[in-house]
Amino acid sequence: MKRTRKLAALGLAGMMAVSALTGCSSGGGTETKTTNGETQKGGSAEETKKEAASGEKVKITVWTDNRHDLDYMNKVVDEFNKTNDHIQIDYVAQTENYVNLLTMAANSGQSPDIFSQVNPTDFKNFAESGIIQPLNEYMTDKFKKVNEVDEHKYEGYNVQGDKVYWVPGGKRSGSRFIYNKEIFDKLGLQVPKKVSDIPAVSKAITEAGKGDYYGIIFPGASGPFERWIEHSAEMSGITPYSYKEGKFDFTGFKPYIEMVRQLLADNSVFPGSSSMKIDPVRVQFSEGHVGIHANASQEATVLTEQFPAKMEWGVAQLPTLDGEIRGSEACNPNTGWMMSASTTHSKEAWEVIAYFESENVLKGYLEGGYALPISKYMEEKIDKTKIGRMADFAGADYEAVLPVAPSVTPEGETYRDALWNACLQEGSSIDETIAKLNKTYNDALDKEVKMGKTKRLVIKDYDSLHPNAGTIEYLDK
Amino acid sequence: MNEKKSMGQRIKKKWNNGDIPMWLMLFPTIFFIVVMSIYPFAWLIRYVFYDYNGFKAYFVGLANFNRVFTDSIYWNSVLHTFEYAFLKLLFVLPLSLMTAVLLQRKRFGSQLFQGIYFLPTVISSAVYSLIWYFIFATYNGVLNSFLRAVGLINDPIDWLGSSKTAMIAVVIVAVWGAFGNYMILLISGLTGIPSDVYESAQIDGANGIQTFFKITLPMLGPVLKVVIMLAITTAFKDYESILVLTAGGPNNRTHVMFSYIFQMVFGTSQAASQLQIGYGSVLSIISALIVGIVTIIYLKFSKRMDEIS
Repeated sequence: MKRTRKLAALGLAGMMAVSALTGCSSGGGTETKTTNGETQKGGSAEETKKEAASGEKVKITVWTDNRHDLDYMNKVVDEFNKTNDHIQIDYVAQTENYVNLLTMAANSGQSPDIFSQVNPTDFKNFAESGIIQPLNEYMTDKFKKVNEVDEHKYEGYNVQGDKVYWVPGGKRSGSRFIYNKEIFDKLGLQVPKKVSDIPAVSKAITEAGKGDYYGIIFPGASGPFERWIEHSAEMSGITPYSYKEGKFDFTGFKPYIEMVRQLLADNSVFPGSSSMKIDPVRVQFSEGHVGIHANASQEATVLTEQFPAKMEWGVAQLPTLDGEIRGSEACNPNTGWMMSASTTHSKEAWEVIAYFESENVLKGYLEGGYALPISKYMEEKIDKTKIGRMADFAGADYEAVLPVAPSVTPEGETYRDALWNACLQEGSSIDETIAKLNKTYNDALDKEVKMGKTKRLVIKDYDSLHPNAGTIEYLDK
Repeated sequence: MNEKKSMGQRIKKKWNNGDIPMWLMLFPTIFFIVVMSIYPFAWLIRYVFYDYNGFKAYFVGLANFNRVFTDSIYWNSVLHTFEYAFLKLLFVLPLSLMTAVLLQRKRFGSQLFQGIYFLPTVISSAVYSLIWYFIFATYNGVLNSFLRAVGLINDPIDWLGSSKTAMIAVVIVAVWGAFGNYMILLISGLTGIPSDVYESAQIDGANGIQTFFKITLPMLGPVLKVVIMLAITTAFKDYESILVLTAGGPNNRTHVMFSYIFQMVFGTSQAASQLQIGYGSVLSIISALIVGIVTIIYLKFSKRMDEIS
């Protein structure tokens, strides 16, 4: 009996050990599930040929962090899978930690073949560490014509030198004031044109609301500073990075911080704003509890489909310091796809990218209001009557893609966190915060340039109204 | 030949003693400890001298260590950790002991309440923190509405957005989420106390309070020691619900050691800044040392609790 028990225990231990070892030994290279159920390592071009010759479809895995367009993209993918005879798209929407997941997948040899574009900081990392590959050799004349590739090369954004890593099929506008038209009409108020007018307008709305509605709202837990304050500063000619001097300078943000402090002191801000995430903010606006909310063009679909507004709302350009536009507001190229450098099916992966950014697919995408057109070609092709409230965010001639400032790691808070914290009533001193940021960012820039981690960007003839017209220099000192 | 025989005999002897089966059974656990704890720790140590963003590592010598001395946010987060742990333990231990004593005896509904109080332990802290996020909402939040209805407050409190109340809010969630777990552990300790001890006390005329302080509490000593140690180490390592509720805000008021390190190593959902894995590794080691020292101090002072039973 004792012997039997020991043998049983040994067997169990053996099974656990084997399962542990096998569990850890998988991975290392992409896996392709073939139709006969066998799993094989994503292999060579020869395997691709074999797959094609045997009539099996090549699976192309696509990851995206876009959820707002999921219905449309699923339709597009279904259509492709039904009609294409040699490629099967596996379209996966990743919900959280998109970049971390991509990085881990890439580092463990399990990268998806294609993935939606990432921000400039991660783009630099991905390109320099060989996670993505340039698309230059794949692009056809037709593709270039539809997407106007040569006109939309943004150094540090989608391009490094001559290498084009992704091509924007659309763009997200800069931020706008989105206001409750009914409240403004009822109280006879005008949307503020100057930053200094915001507190008075917000106070008037809050007083009239008597606890039912408030002047303004901030998504305190979802990037409140970059949501619109930073964009308003851009339109006033203020950016965190001085392109002319090639160094960071946060001094210009002081009047903005003072303005937010005034709003908070007046109790004109929706209660609880400082801990609110973006979706609760949207809900409160669409319920009519807020006079002014601000965001970019994604709100067109959010306030009509996700959280349909229960009142009439309007869209207005952001106020500036003196009421005049002194600089370009940043807009973001998007709707672009990157190709993994480790894909073993690059030809097929490109076919999928070309399909996603084809005239037909982009037409439906842009008319669905999921992005604004970036190429003039597509702008002319779409039926603008179909884009709905997206039209309110289109056609701003003061917008541009700003040159990408060096991405540095300061010893301390990021400027967006620090400047927002200074906005809070219990926050630290404004002058001290700005002085500290100027020091930590410029120290980090000097150090990282010296280390060879980044380069100093200088545009001596920088014009804030025409940010891409200057002569760009990348310095090693 | 003789050697082989003796080797075989030795193996047989070890097999019969149970040595070999023991090691075989321990192997999977040891394997996972090596893979999941020791290897990651060694990996982490490697990067303390580097500026590493997950892609490329730049050697920086002792710069990461020098930075620790001037990082006021980190040292404030250490203070916040002690504050959070102190407040959490202050409420969670008496509450779990009280409920354990009340619910240990088989009375009508005691099992049901044990189940209800234990429920947060089996729910993901991210999930219940999200529910609490809505409970704490300033405008039309459940808690503010209740407090206004009973006349305790006139104006809604910005629980998570004000520096004055944010720490209290995260402690409330921590106590709610933890006390059921400790309650169950204490109930198991209480059931181990022989009933004849209570009977003798009753015969001697001891009242309820005397019984609790002179019998229950002393005889619960060893279990209580473990429970307190678990509560201390957990309180010092908590960060998940803080990330969901406040992400360390407002103005870093609720940043504890590990929430700060998490954001340093894994980034935040919206910040497009570089990860700081090297510096985060240094902070992890220092924080682990702090938790270790606190645990050692506690174990030293709690030695007496073993002797009581």
